[in-house]
Amino acid sequence: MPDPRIFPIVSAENDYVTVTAVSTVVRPANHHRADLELVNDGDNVIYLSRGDEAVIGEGMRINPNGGSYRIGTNNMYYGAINGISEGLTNMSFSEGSLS
Amino acid sequence: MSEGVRNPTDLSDVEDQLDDIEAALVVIDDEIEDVQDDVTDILAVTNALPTLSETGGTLTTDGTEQNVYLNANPLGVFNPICVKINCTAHTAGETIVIREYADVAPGGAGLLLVDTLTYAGVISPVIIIIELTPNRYGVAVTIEKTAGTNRAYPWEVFYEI
Repeated sequence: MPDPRIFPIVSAENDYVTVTAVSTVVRPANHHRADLELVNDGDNVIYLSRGDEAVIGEGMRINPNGGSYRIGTNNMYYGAINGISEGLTNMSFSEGSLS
Repeated sequence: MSEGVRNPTDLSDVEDQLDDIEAALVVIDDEIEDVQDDVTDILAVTNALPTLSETGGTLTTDGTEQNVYLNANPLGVFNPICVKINCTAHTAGETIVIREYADVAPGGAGLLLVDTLTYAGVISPVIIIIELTPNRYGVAVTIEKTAGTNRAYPWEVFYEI
C-alpha cells in the first residue's frame, strides 16, 4: 500500500473485468492512480500488458484462481493495462485514486 | 504488501483430485467391508468343519466279547471313520471274532449288530481295518477270542467330530 502520508488514497473503485481471447482493457489509463490490485478470479491464465495490446504468452502471466498483479508506489504505472486469456476469465480489481 | 506479479500455487486441481480420492476411499472402504463380511462367513464355515481325531490303546483278550471302541452316547452327529487292529501277536490255531454295532434311534433298541468278521489262524496282513459310517446314537467295535491263547491287540480309531 502506498504510504498514505505521501499518497493518500482518496477514493477506490472495486469491480471486475471479463478478459476474453481478444485483448481487453482491464483498466484504462489513470493519472490519479495511487495503487491497483488485479486478481485472476477465473480458471484460465491471463496475460497482462502495460500499454500495448495483450498477446497470449507475452507480458505478465497471471495464474488462475488467485494469481495477481499489484501496482504500488515502487512500480507506479499510470497507463492502460490490457489482458488476454484463452477463455472467458474474470479479473477482479481494486484501484485507488488520489482524487 | 509487495508489488508486482504474485502467482500463488493454484490448488484447485489438487483439491478436485482430493475430492476424487476421498470418493474413491469411500468406495474402497465399502469394498473392504464386503470382503470382511465374506471372511466372517468363511470363518464360520471353517470353524464348523469337523476335526479329524484319533485315539487308541491295547486290549488283551480274555475269551469274552470285549469293547475295542465304544461310543454309546455321542453328543451329536459325528463321523467314525475306521478302527485298526494290530494282529501281530495272533498265531496259528487262534480265532478272533470282530463285531461292529450301531444304534440308529434315540432311546430305542440300543447297539445292534452291523457286521461280524471271523479270523482263524495267522492273519495277513496283520492290520485289520474296520471301516465305519457316520453315526448319531452310538457305535461299537468288539473283539472276542474264541480259540487259542489270549493276546494283546493294539488298536486305534479315527473319527471326525
